[in-house]
Amino acid sequence: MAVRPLFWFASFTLLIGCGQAVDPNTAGAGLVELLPTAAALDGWSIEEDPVEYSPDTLYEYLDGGAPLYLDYGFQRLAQGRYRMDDGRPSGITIDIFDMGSPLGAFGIYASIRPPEAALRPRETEGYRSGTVAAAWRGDVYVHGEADDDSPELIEALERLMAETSAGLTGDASWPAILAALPADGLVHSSERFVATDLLGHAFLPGGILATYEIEGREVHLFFSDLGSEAAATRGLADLRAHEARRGEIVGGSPTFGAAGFRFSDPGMGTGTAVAADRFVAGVYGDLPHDSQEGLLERLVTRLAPSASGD
Amino acid sequence: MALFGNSIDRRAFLKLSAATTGMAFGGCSRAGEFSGPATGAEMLYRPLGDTGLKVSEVSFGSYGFDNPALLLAALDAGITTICTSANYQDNRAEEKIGEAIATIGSRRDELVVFTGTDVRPGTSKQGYLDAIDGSLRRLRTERVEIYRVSGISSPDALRVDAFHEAVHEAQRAGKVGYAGMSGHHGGMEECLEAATDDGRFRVLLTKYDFASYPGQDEILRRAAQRGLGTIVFKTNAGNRKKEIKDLEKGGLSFTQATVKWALTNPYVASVCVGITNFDQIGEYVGAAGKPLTDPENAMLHHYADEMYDKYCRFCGECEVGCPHGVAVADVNRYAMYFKYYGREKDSMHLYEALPDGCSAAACESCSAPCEPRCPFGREVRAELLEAHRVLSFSRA
Repeated sequence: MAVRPLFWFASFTLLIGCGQAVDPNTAGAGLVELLPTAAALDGWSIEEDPVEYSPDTLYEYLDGGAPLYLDYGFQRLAQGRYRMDDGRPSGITIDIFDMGSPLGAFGIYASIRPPEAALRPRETEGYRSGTVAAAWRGDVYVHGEADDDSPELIEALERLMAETSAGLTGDASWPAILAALPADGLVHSSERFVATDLLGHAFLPGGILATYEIEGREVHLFFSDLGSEAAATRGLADLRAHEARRGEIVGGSPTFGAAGFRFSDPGMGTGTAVAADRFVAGVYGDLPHDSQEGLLERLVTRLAPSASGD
Repeated sequence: MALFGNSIDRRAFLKLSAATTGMAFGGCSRAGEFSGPATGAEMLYRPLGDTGLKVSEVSFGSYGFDNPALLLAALDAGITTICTSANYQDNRAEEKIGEAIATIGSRRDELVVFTGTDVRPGTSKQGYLDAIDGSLRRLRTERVEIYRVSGISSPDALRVDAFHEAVHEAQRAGKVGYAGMSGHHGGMEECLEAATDDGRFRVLLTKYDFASYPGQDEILRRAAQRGLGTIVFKTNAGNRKKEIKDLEKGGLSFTQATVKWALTNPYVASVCVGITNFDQIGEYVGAAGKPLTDPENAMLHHYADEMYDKYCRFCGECEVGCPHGVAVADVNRYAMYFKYYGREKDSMHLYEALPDGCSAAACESCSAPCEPRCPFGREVRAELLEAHRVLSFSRA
């Protein structure tokens, strides 16, 4: 297939830069006001005054995790701690993050969402998995965690998350860049936005990752916006050089011609990568190249302006 | 080595680091089959206290990590020590490490894997045992070398019997090698001392840099004498990008210099660094086994000097000497909220809520016995008066 110039993502670059959008949740009221009051739960109280963290102090709370949140555009965090009035020591922590953009909030949310998590039937997407619950909407990401899995705490965690989620009023729609992913075979809730170093490559400035099921096996699709055709060509060359060092360049791609190459990587399995306009895209997994490239071809086609309808 | 000793003399840095560089390598050994093909550098290994384990001088910090291929590349470069936690991305980091471990076969025996959990009030022994089993399942391994309690901010958090009973049972079952603790909050010195004296911890993981924690060297030395091993992290002293960018203009790597600096301390077994891309592997491995050069030394000295009295570390050392009981750390923190975080109203409310006598109003007529106690030579009284001025503005 000849790779056509792809321009429909005129807003992609704007969207991918976190921290620009304004969310009604944070433009007016503060994050602290989004924390449920003690009145939301009979027999519970807020343990201490809510604690707030800024980009400069986030490390005091997240042991080693702060850089990841900062990469996603972290602006502020309000934390509430809830405890039962009966004096038992365990309780619940609710963290409300202003991530600066819907893409940043989705990105950090999806980065921890377990693939098997059952989503809550709310307009604000969220889930609970064991003692952890999370949700996102607009610029806001909410993380709740119970100290243990006793029924009382889990029930209260669910109620606090529901209460918090109900207060979120930002745009509930998914980031537009995810629309480029083909729908067929997409594993539920596997879509992710990675803010930097996609697949661990400093030359890829972040992008989208998703998992598909093909012939009963999992393969992974990725794409990254390098900003220009020249940059994408360089990015693909860097990726090829990396695979030549770490794995093996199997050869050219019959599907993509000179625009792509096939590789075999010790950690990723077999794969194909391609430069398409300003994007570097690829597929990898534990399947023969021919079986995977159809999926990549569909992605590249969906990146084309005529297919997008934009 | 802590940069300035207890008095935190700015000038002590160069002498200390030069004096200790040679000491750092006495207990090192070189890589076995890992010879660093990806980087051209060679990893060194150090004993982890008296555990019998040897750890790579650079450890793989896994927060944000999600590509098993990256970990495999790190292993090929000789980084055989992996630090993770069930808390990292709500289990995802452990799962991705597990995917890598599942592919390396017998090479697993060469790894030293740290994982752990936060101590949470009310968690039972069975709760911790379940947490250990969950980590092993995600890591796809039958054992971890170190299981640590993380997020420690007070000695009390080290003495949770349910945690120790669970670790002890897991040790008997061959699931856990040794207990460790980790933390990075203020007051770590007290926690490290308590962990050393506790007798149940064999490994310390702690923040350690060249601009803070003045008493830490002595603590690590004492811990080593008792057979505890230490792994450090956050060695970059705040990682202030603007200042670092200027300092690196001559082609130096601030990151490499901070890792080398930490490794000059013979009581530091390994430096744990977050690795999220392939380029970082080469940069970090390039720091292992190399002495801190004079230009690097000067760069760190310059950075530390520039940052020296720029910020209150909220250590509370000066509060001990205050005759009025002023809550210096709190007052300075609220002033920080006011000046830098746009939380004027909030910070003023916080200040107003301080107990009687804890505000900085009393500083006006005080002779400031607090100032000699500040390890970083800050003008505590003037800062408190300025904080009082802005935080109590509404009362005027």
